[in-house]
Amino acid sequence: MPDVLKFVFYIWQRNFVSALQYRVSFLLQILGMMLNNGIFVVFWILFFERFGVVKGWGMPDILLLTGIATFIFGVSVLLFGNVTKLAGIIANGGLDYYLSFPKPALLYLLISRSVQSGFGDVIYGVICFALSGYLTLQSAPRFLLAALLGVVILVSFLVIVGSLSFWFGNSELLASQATMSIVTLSTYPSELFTGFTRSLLLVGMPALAVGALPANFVKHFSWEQLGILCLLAGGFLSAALLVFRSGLKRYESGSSFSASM
Amino acid sequence: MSVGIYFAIFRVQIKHNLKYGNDFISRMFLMALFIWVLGLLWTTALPMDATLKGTLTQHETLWYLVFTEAFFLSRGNTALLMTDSIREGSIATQLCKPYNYILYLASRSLADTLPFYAANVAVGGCIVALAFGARFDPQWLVAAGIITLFLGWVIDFVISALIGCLAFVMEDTSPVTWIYSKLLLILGGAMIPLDFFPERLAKLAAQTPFALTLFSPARLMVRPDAQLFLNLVAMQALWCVVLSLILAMGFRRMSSQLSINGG
Repeated sequence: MPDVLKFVFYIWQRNFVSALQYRVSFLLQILGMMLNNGIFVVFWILFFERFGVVKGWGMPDILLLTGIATFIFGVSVLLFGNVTKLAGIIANGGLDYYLSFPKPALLYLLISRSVQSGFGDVIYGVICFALSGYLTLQSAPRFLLAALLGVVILVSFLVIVGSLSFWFGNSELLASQATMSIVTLSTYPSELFTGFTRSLLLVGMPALAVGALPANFVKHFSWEQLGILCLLAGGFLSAALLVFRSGLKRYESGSSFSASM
Repeated sequence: MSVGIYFAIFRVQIKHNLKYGNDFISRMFLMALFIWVLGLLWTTALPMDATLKGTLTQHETLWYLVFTEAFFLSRGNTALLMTDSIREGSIATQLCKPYNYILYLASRSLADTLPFYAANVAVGGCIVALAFGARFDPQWLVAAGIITLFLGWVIDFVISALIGCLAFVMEDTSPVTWIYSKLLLILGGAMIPLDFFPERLAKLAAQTPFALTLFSPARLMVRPDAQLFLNLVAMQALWCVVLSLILAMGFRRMSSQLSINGG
């Protein structure tokens, strides 16, 4: 196994062990997040009970959609927890610490924090997938593959938004709004969006690429959809690396001293 | 203690919020996005000619969503402020200051909510009027809105402060905050008016403080009714008194057991 992968798994393992030190808080975060997500489904239950199917979308489709979207978000913040804090870290001169290590700075920065409530999202995502009725032996590997590509797209997008701090000084608010927007938009039926809005939600703020597109791929295998997902994942990942590296050239040390424990 | 202190805190916090233009714009952007998506959803589900007995029309629903979402997205972060103060121990110094800590938080929260609420209603209103053609008669917004919205804000503030008090006994109150937010979204009718709930659930939800915070004031503004207004104010006042008493007793009891981190 390459050294970088060993390092990544080691940090993830440390994050997990560290979270277990506060067991009550850890469990509360997981249960709280699951309940939090579950209440959102109540909206759709009430909605479909009153209005029936909306543009071909019924309750099983929404369960699959919210399942895969929350799974993608959960895995992203669990494994790359600092992605939502990137803008603040850059703005406050916090990059100094990560730049001083021989490992890739962006990778180390992203994995060095884990958001524990992400476990709740992951478990909830699997439960929704199972309840949707789309879980079969064939669809389960597709779910994992689509989720993996979704995680790459989501994390890359958030890195791009967070890296804007290199140019704007502080894009913390923009980054937090972008996170909230993409999470919200990814859980709505894709057929609501047409024309320009649809294109924007695919390549601008890729909400459809972390929600509806992976969900459709789980329903029916299609080389075309897999190709689009791979293309988006590759494109966003390349763009994220490019933007972060370009921004890094503009970075000035915050001369800050901090202890990492 | 003079009311002037709280008015000064309110004024300073308003100035503080207005100084951060980017914050203002990004929050309005989020409001615009939510209203746009909810508008697309509701205009699809509820056609213009839909006649569901006793429920809101498409235009009324869109304006109703403007009022509920504007409130939901402009709420202050009282629970988080209290949790941080209690966890860090800084509450010890705040309790020594010449004001009531809860009223200090209330003044801050009101100042955090008001400018954003007004801006959100303006942005959301423009979107539903221009993009979806929904019209609204604003006469009740002035007459009943101010009173019922204010009492709704009081209920929300007191519940948030009660959640903040849990930090005296819990390491992290964020799971409770998430659940409360989602209860406001569903039982408060922020995303779906209670009119569209199953009848029994709608009746039950309407009696909860969540509905009195969001649903009832917003519905009153799009479907004015004098009798409903009086009943609503009475119900809101009752909940305000009951919840405030619980908060006062709970905060006094828990803060008396306060131990300071780091001395």
